[in-house]
Amino acid sequence: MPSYIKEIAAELDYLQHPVELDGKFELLPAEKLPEFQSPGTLAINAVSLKGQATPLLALVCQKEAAPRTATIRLMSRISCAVMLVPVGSGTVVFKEDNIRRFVVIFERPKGKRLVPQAGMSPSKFDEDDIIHGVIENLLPAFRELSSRTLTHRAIRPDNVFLTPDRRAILGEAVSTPAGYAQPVLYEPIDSGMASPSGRAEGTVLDDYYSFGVLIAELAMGGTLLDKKTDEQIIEAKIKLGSYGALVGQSRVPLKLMEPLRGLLSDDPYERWGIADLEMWANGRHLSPKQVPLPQKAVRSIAFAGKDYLTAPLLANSMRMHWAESKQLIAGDQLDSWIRRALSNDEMASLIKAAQQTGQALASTGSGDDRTASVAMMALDPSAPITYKTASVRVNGLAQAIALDFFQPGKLEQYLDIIRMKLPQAWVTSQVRTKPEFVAIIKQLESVEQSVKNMTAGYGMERAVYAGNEGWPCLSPLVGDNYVDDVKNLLPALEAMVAAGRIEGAPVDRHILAFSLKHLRGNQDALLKRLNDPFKRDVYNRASLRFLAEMQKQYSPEPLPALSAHMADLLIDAVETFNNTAFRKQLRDAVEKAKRDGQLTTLQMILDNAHIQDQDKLGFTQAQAMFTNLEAQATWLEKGGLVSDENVRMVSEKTSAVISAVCSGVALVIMTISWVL
Amino acid sequence: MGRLPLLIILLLLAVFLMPSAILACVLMVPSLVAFIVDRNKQRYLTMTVGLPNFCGILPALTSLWERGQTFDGAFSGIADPWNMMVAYSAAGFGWMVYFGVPVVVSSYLSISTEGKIKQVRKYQEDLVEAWGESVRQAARATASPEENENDE
Repeated sequence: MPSYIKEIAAELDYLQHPVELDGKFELLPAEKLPEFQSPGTLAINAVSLKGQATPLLALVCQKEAAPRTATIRLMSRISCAVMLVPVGSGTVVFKEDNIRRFVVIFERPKGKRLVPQAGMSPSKFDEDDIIHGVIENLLPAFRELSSRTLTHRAIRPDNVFLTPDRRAILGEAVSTPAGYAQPVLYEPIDSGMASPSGRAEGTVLDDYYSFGVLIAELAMGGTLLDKKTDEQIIEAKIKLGSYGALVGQSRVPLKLMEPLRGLLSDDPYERWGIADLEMWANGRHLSPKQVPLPQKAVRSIAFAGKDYLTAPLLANSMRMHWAESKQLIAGDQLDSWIRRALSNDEMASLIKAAQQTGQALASTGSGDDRTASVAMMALDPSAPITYKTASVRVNGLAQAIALDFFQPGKLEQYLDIIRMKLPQAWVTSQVRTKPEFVAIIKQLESVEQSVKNMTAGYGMERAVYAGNEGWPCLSPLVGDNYVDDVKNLLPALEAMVAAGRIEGAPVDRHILAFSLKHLRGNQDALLKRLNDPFKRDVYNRASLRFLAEMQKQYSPEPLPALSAHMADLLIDAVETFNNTAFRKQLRDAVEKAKRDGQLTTLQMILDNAHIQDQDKLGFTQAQAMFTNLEAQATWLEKGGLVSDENVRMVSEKTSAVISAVCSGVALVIMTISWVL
Repeated sequence: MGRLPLLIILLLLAVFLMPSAILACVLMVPSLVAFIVDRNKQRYLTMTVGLPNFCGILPALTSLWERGQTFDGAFSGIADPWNMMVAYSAAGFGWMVYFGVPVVVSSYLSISTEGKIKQVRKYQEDLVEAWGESVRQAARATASPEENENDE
């Protein structure tokens, strides 16, 4: 298993209790199936609850190398006996640790793996076994993949099963990202040059290449590149072409030479596809076009202690020696070698133009890095985008960001790639344009927009979820919980809080970016409040509002632990209220909301500007009233009421009133007596 | 209504009811005196004296009107000591009220001061109970600069 994929089988050994998946399957984690384990997964037994007797297996996946959920959805519609296709998938909560994990169910393949573990070469096969048991037998699988424009991207000996009658079955292809667990040997040159995280979904042609390597290994019992390092494999493939590097002058059955040459073609446009394979299987002989090797220069160029005669080989070496590459480009040696020894003025002009653009960007401090990256594109247009230690295929950038998010230094490099518009430069550098480039650039521009916005909820975190459909939330706050559905986010946070694994506000940039893809309504004002986590009070209140909104829209069930946690974080806010009776009312309401697990109620109490304003207004009025009363009391105490002036004033009014009343009475009496 | 229109109306009335005006002028001399010495804008003294004084001239006026609004009638009314006594006694009642009430008022206010202070303090305590000590502190903060100014 590749070292960059985390081993989880041993870690999850403690899982024992059976759990149900969607009421259709029962997972039996106590019954481990190590022989069916894919890299980075745990294989356990599963049984159908619908009465199907076929033995099943379930792969428990990890979120660090998230499964291909979109492909699972599409592949599960395929019915193919020679390829493991998912029969069920989804998330389940294991009782032992209350953690939600993603599980994919497959029918258990008959037979054993071609090789028991990754990195081993398969033993030699007979010509007939290869033709009938492998190529012809697997044709239906390739036919299905091609017709649905799906990719397998996991064709390698340790993922091919061999039935007792020596028929091959393709293993599962969905438990880790496309091509993530593939050895460099089994990947086309450009994909092999890219880091495993940046290999992208690719195309079905990548599968045919892998299939070609598999046939070569079966035909020869290994290849000429056995025991070579990844870099040596890439160098040999560039130097000799894949067929030359893998097969060379070795004796392979004559009948297999055609498909091998066709499948191992380094030019995707010339590589064999399903139509070619079917024609060959039907007995029609095809002669695959020989892809010309890179043009050799009349003299070599010395770089990093070696001499290079071709531009792609030099570019490959430059990829591994970044600092020296910048020096080489800055000097005149490269330009003169390209113009004179390679006689390629166009390539030299492209590098010159890259230098000029780089100089314009010198103020950013990364101008020479961009120049180096674009210069490598000019030297080898088919190579992936290379920038410092990052190397990604043009459509693999979003997946690389997701997979390498917590890798030190990687994120900054991907950010530079986007900001410096290197994918656009890569597309421009291509000799042949493809229609899909337009879609790729459009998607990258949308990612760029997210990345440029540094507000919480956007940035690189948003690029993860905007660029990778179904990618689980990477927030450390959800721990190992696999949260790919926004509805499961609050329950996961509830479990984490209940386990005492969250201390502060249970909201971070990942949670915001993940949720905002789904949350209805404009949340910009809320996001502004969440921009500065160091403003604790503001951040906590905004977090509560955000969680309450989430509960309202997606998880109406009670969340007592989360409510109690948020109440504890914000209880000081209650003490800031001035009105004592109101404070008591609020405390009681908070206690009730904690018991009921209602974040919405809690938010209405603890993050409510209206009642805060009312309290402030009431307090101001009370202050004014108190001051007024104090003045009154002082005046009274100083004898203001019995002062001569006050007595005179009151007396004058009183006497006027008495006089008026008496006069009125007299007038009435006189009128009555006059009338009578 | 402004003073000028009122004066004009009174003058017109006086012209048309000249005998009554003469009688009223003579019998309401105490009110005129009260009006002159009254310095209060609200004219409480004028009201206190004038209203009973006016009541006091009504019997003389009715008697004049019964006799037909003549100057003779008016002068005989003026000459009648009874009329004079009634009108001036009524005015005297007004003056008596004006000078007597302050004694009563002063006693009443002296008695009610303590109660009022208690009432104000109770209300203040209610405010402190409802809004906390900070209400008192804020009032002190407001009061202290003023006190300082006064001390200076």
